[in-house]
Amino acid sequence: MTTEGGAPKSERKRVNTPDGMFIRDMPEGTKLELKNGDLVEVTLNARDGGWLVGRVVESERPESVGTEDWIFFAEVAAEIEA
Amino acid sequence: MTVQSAETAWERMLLEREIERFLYDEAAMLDERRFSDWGDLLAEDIHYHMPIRRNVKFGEQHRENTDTESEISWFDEGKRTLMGRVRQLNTGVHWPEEPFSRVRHIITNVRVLAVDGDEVEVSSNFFVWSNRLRDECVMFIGTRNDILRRDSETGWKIAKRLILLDQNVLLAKVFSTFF
Amino acid sequence: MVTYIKGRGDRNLRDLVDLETGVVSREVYVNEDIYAQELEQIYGRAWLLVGHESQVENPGDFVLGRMGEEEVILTRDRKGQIHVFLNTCRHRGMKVCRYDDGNALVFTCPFHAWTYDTDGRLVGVPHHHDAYFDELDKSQWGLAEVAQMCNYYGSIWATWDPKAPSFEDYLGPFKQTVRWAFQASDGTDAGVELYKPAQRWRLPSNWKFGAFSFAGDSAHAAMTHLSVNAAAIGPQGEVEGGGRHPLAAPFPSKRGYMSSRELGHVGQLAIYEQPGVADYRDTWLLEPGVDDYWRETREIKKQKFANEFLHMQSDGQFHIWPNATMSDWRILMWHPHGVGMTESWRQYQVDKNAPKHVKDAKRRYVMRYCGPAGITESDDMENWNYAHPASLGMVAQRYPYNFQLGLHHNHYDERIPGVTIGDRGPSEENQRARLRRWVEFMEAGSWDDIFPVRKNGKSNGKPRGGNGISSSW
Repeated sequence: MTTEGGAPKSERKRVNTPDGMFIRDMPEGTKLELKNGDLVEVTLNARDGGWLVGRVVESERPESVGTEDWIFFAEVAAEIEA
Repeated sequence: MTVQSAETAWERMLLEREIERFLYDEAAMLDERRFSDWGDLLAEDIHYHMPIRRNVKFGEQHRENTDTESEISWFDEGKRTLMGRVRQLNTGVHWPEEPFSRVRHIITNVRVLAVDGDEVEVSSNFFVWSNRLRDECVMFIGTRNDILRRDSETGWKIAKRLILLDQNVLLAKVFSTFF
Repeated sequence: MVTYIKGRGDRNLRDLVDLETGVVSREVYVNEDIYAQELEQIYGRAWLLVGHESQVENPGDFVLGRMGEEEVILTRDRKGQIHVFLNTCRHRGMKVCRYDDGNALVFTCPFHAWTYDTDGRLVGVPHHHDAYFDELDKSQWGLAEVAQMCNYYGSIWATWDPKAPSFEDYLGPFKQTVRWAFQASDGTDAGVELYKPAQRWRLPSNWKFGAFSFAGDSAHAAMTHLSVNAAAIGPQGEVEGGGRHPLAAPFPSKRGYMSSRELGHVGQLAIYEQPGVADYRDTWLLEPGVDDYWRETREIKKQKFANEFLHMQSDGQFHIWPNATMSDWRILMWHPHGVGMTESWRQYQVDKNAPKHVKDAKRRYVMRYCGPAGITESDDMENWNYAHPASLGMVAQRYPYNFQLGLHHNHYDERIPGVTIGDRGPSEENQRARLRRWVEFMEAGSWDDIFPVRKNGKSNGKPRGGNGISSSW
C-alpha cells in the first residue's frame, strides 16, 4: 500500500488503543499512530498525562516527515509495536 | 530498626497501653504548661524535626518533606535549643505566649510500629488547638513518628520525633508550643 | 492617578501622612480602599524580589514565587534563560503550575490542557487544527511574563512596569549594598546559594507593619526580644550573656539609620573610618570546625578589600522598597495578602562553596532564629499581629501613629552621597523614608512622576524643596 504523497506505509501492529492508553509514563522511543494517519516516534514526554513530543516517521504530507511537534494524547489512534 | 514482635499479644497490649499513657501524660504537661517537666522527657540526643511539606509532582513524593541533611524545616534541632525554648516560655515576657494561650493536645491513632531492645518506634496523630487572647484560634493537625527509649531509672525518654504537620504555607503566625 | 480614598468623605492621602511632624494616620495601614490601590500603584510598578538563580540551577527547573498578591513561576528555560511568569493559563485562568518546585518540560494546564514551554510560549492547544482551524495565533497567547527582569549577582528581581527604570538605577545608593548581600564570605560576587525551600506563613497584619519596621526599628528590640537571651540561640551559646547574634570583632565605624529619601530604600548600616574588613572573631563555639572556614574566607576577603571602604556593605541589614528586607544571611519578604494579612517568607543565603558542616551549622542557626518557629522572630509576630486589629476601630483611627523618634535629627555624609543618616540613638527615620516613598508611589500616574525624583509634587499647600523633598523632613 502506498500513500498519495509517496512513502510506503509500514505494516503497523496496533498494541494499544486510546481506550487503554495512558501516556503519562510512556517511554521515549515509543511508536504511535495518530488519528491523521501519521506514524510518529515519541522523543520527549512531558509526563503530565497530556502531552508528548513526537517526530514524524511516516506521513501523507512528506514535508512533515522528520519534523517534531507536540502531540495531545487525544490525537493518538494507537500505539504501534516497535 | 528491625521489627521484633512482643512475645505475646498480652505483652504487646501492655506495652501499647504504657506508650499511650506516656504520650497522654506528655500532652498534659504541655497543656498544663509544665514545660520544664516536658523538657525532662527529652533524651540528651533527641532529634526534633518538623519538615516543611512541599507540593510535588506524582512520582516525586520522596521530596515531599524537607530533609534534615540539607534543607530548611520548621523545626530541626536537639535538646539544647529545645530547652532554650522552655526557658523562653518560662520568662513571662515571651509575647506570643504572654499571656499564655489555651493549648490542647489531642493525641490519637497511637500505634507501636516496632520494638528494638529498649527502643520503641511509635506513630501517633495530633490535633493541637490553640486559643489566644479573645478570639485567635489556630489548629495544627498532623502525625508524629517517635523513637521512645526506656530508661530504667527515669522512665521513657523521647529520642527522636519526626512531626509531619499537614500544612504547606503555615496558617499560623507562630509555633509557640511543642508537638 | 489615585490620590483619594473613599469612606467618610474623600481625603487626600497627604492628609494622612505628615512627615514634617512625624504623624501618620492608622488608615494608611488598615484602610481597605488604600490597600486595593497599593496593589496597583506599588506592586504593579516597583521592582520586586522574586528569588535567586540557585533555585533554578538547571534547564527546566522552576519554583513558585510571589509578586504582590499574585503567584509567579520563576523558571529556567531549555536554553538556560531565566524567566518570571504569572502562574495562570491564558485560556481560562487556571494555575498552570501547582507544584512548589521541580523540573518541567512544559507547564500544562490541567483544565483544558493548554501547554506552555518553559520559555513561556504556548506550544500546545488541543483541537488547534480540527476545531480552532489553525486560526488561533499561539504566539499571542503565551504565559504573561514580567515587563523587566534583572539577575543581580544571582538575585532575581522583576517588575510588571515596562517604564520602570533599570534595576541599578532603582537601587541608587543601595547598589553595592544589595551586591554585598549576595557575596560569599570571601568577597566573591554571586557566591551564595539559598537553602531550600522558603519558609512561608501567614501573619494576620497589614504588610507594612513588618515591611516598614524591619531595618529601621531597633527601638523595638529591647522590649520585644526581652525573652530571647534566655534561650541562648547564638552560635556562641551562653558565652557573654547568650546573645542571639554571632560575636564580631570591633572595626572603626559609625553605625546608623541610612535611607534614600528619594527611593525609599533604607538600612541599618555602617560608614567605616578605615578601609578594609574587620578581623574574624571565633563565634561558632558549639560547632567544631565551623570557625575555621569563616576565618579562612575572612582572610581572603580582608586581602581583597584591604584598600576599600565598604560603606553600607559589610555589616547590618537593609530594606529595598517596597517589601524586601535582607542582610548577608537572610531574606525577609512581606507579601500583601489582603489588607489585614501578610504572607511572610524567609530565605537564607549560604556560601555556595562552604563545606557541609558549615552549611549545616548556619542552617540550624537560621531555623532557630527566624521564621514562625524562630525564637527571636516569634516575638515580633505577636506585636505586628495585634497592632492591626487594635487600629481598626472608629475611635482608634482618630489617633494617628507616632513616627517622631529622631525626627529632624539627621545629617548627611559626603562619603555616602544621596543617603540620609540618623545616628544619634534609635531613630524612625528609616520608617519615615518608606512612608515618604509610599505617598509618592500612591500618587504617581506613572514612573515619570517618581523617578529619578518626584517632578510635580502635589504638596497639598505645604512648601517643598526644589528637588521635590522638603528640607525640613
